[in-house]
Amino acid sequence: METAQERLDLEKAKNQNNKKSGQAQYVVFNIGEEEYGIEIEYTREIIKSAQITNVPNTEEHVVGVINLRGIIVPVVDLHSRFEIDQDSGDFEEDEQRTITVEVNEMLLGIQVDHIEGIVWLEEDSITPAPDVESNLRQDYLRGVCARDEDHLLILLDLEKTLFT
Amino acid sequence: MQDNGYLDMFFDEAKEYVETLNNGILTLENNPGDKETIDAVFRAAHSLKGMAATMGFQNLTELTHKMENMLDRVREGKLEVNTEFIDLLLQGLDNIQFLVEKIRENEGAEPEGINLEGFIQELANYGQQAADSEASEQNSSGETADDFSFNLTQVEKKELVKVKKDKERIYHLKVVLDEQDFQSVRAFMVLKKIEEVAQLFKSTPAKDEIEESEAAVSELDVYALSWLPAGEFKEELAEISGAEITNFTEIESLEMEKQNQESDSKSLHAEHKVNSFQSSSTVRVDISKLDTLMNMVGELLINKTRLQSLDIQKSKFNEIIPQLDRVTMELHHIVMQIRMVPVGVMFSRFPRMIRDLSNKMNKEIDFVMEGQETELDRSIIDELSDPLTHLLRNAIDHGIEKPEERKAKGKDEEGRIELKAYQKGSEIIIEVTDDGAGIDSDIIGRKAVEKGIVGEEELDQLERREILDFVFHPGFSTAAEVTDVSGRGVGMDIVRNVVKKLDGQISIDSELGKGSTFTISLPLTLAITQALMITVDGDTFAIPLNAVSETLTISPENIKKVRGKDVIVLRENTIPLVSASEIFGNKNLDSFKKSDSDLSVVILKSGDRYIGLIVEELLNQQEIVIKSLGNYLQDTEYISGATIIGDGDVALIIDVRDIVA
Repeated sequence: METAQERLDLEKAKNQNNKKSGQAQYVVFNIGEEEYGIEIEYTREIIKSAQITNVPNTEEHVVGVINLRGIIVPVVDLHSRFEIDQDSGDFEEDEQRTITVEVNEMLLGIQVDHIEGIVWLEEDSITPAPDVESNLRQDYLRGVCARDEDHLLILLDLEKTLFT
Repeated sequence: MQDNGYLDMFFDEAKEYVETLNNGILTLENNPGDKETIDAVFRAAHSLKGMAATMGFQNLTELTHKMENMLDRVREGKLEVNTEFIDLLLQGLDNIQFLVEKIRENEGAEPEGINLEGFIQELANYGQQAADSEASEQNSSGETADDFSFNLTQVEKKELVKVKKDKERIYHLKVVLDEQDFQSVRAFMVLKKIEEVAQLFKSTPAKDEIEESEAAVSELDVYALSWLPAGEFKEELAEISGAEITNFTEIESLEMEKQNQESDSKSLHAEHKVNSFQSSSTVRVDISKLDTLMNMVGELLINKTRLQSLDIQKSKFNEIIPQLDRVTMELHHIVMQIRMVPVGVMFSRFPRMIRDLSNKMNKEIDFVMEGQETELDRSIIDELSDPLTHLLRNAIDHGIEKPEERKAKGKDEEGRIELKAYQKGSEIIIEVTDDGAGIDSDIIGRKAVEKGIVGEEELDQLERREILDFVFHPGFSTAAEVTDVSGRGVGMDIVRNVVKKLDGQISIDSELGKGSTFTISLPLTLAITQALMITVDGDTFAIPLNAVSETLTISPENIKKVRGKDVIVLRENTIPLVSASEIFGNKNLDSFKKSDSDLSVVILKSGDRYIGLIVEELLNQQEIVIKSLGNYLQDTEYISGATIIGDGDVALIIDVRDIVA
């Protein structure tokens, strides 16, 4: 039930998306302790992580494939991409979700430790990523957004993150 | 912007007519007197014109109209089919295709600024000149005065007999219209009158031509069917002023039927050449709908398998399952049938291409196609056209030698290229054969070393076939000079990639001085296949059954070493062994050899090579629905796709070629 509800919310959020100018909606999630956001346009649905079949001889961040209602969908885990320890976040296992996204006309699943929610961000509030101490490759980033005092939301460039 | 539904219909039909024209024109070239083909081509041009006019495409209407006129003159025997004529028609056809393409690009409107007037004028002139010279000849011999003869084509005759009702009489008459104003109107009235008292079968010019044309009509040549006796029929027509019946014959229908029978037996072999206008009980369906249907059937099949795997001991359940099994199999079979298309659909474009290219390169080529009726899955056919085009171009460019050269070698000056399709077991084979220069494996080998594809010592170890295989290597080109026909070393590797993507194989065989054969083998269908299910380190994998030669159980001491490689000896054949677990990540073969328990081995074959794959456990044999891993994982080594098994989990399909290669 929960997944159906989440899918519904995504759809509803998307429908509202073009109603405010200068703002856009982002799906916010955690990988480890860090908070990341991706543009809602890319997302299709959020599902409870399904049984993953491992695919040998693939890149490290590809964890395998799942059966999404008859369609084979590759699933990626960004921990290795971002050099984050698998168990660094403070989340329970059943909080894990897979966000399915459509990038470059391909359907992919992104495994995340926790879904934070959907937020509106002012385009003005997004600044280029500071060139500091990050394990993240700079070109994976679209920018950052300070949500409050010591809380930085990292916005991902999905195409670069998934395809380079 | 036009209405999209009509526009799609226009494009679909235009494509068909263009194909008919193309086939027909080429048939005509070889058989200039083939009446049926002339008729078919004429009708295609005529229908295309009608359609273009309806859609309001002026250039296209004008162009097809002029081609139709030329063809009509041929039908009337006033124009001769010669090379010049064929060339002009083919040029016309190119222009038609160009226009249709432009209309598509322009979203359904004929683009402005296209000037075909010159060409259209050329068409008009050609027909006219011939007609003029013909007319003057006829004048000099004094035959025009009474140009009234039985002039129906075979097809028309047959049609005439068909539409003729019992007791109806067939009249052939010529009506001359007074030279005053409104000749066209009068002509029109004559035809209308005939339609009142009879069945108008054919008139020259036709009714719609009179309507469309601004030129005056001075006479009509009419075939009509009527119950009225000849006298009454003539009286009816006499009511129209300014029109006089100059010739009138009643045709004995019996005689006609007899003629038809004769010509039937004569033209049997010509029947299947161009059969575009025969109506059939078919429906046009969007291919995406078929794909969806296919997916649904796939889902159904998976769920059926899941049901079967439930251990339910109820008599009703055990009754229903076999029925469900039968229905789903039948459904699957039919869906596959629907998707099958004869390869001739794709082949039909090649004769024209060969003709143009051989002219351009001054080579004489006899192009032979066989097995056009062989059927393949639609999706395969669509993908295959480019690779075949490339192979054929190569055969013309690099294969067939120039006539002088061939003569010097003692060969027939005319080269021969064969394109053959046939079914062999569960595979479809397509062969491109030329009797040209062949490929020199020494040169290939040397080039492969130069390009660093293979080491010199390694080369000595290789068999001839393996050396020839280098032509499929990326960046490998053997043509001494680059021509615009077959490009520069991109191509053969792309050909192989496409064929591989279709789950097929391509091989090459060549004898120096004698020619080359490229053989493509493809699965009959991509979507569903029988597979052997196995496990490797606890995960389930599927191996397509057509790649499995046999399965066996061996004990570790059966494993021998030959030149440092693990092999088993099976009926005097030495077969290399690999561990599936090693390929897919975990344990290597040595860990198996240390164990005492027996090993399960699947003997895989690809082409004529064999390899033994050690697996953890052999499961069952079952039908699987092949699904793509998607573009993201497409190039994954050793894995060609995935399928969904009973419990809804994903099982990967092993790419046997990657393992055997």
